[in-house]
Amino acid sequence: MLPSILLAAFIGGAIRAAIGIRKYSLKKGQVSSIAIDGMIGAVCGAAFMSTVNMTGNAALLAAGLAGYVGADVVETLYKLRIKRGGSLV
Amino acid sequence: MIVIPELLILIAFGLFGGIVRVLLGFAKSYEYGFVPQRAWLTLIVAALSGALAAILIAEDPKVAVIAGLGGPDMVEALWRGLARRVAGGAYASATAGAVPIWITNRQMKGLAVAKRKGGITVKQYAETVGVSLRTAERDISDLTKGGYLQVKGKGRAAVHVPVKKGK
Repeated sequence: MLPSILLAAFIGGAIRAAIGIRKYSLKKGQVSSIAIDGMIGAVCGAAFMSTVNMTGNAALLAAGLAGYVGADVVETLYKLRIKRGGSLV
Repeated sequence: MIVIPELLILIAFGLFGGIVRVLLGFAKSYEYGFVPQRAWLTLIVAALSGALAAILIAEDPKVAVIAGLGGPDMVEALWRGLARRVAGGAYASATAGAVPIWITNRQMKGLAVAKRKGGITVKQYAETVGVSLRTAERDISDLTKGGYLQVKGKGRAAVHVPVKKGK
């Protein structure tokens, strides 16, 4: 089940990145941002799913949703951190 | 079968997700002088999407919270995309005044300056955000095509004026 959940969450994060890319067109470097958001989504989705008790399609949908939201929130916090002059690490 | 009290609880959790989203929006846009508008609409969409997702996926308050957080973002993106494709000219008035979601932070900064000053030239944009004239032209062109700015004048002296709400 874990690989499916990770994949669903990855897709959720990647969708968030794809929506964020203006004009919905891929340019150089944007594929990597989709992959990064997907990975963030996968981590957030897996973390969320470890706190709930779900199986089947509901679990995959919830993981995708958590991946989407996780990527969104992490990206927002990251941007706020950059604006305040903080480092990335 | 879900009953009214449970539904209200799920709506409340969705609303909580929406509040978090609005607060994040305020934090993100504060520096650029934007005040996120239609926060009430975000909260309504969050409450509804939170409850709906929880009913469809699992009647778990946690699902309602994350759906409340992500729901308005998805709905807004879909709505803007549809407005751009279907409504054509209505896109500009439909999006004016709202915090844009797909323009870059750099463009948001330039747009904020244009709003504050009533307009911005390519040179002013380049100086404000620290990019070359070529990049500034490209950014402004995107903002114009997206319906955020309109051009007044020609050539280098052209002033790009923010599109006012309702126009």
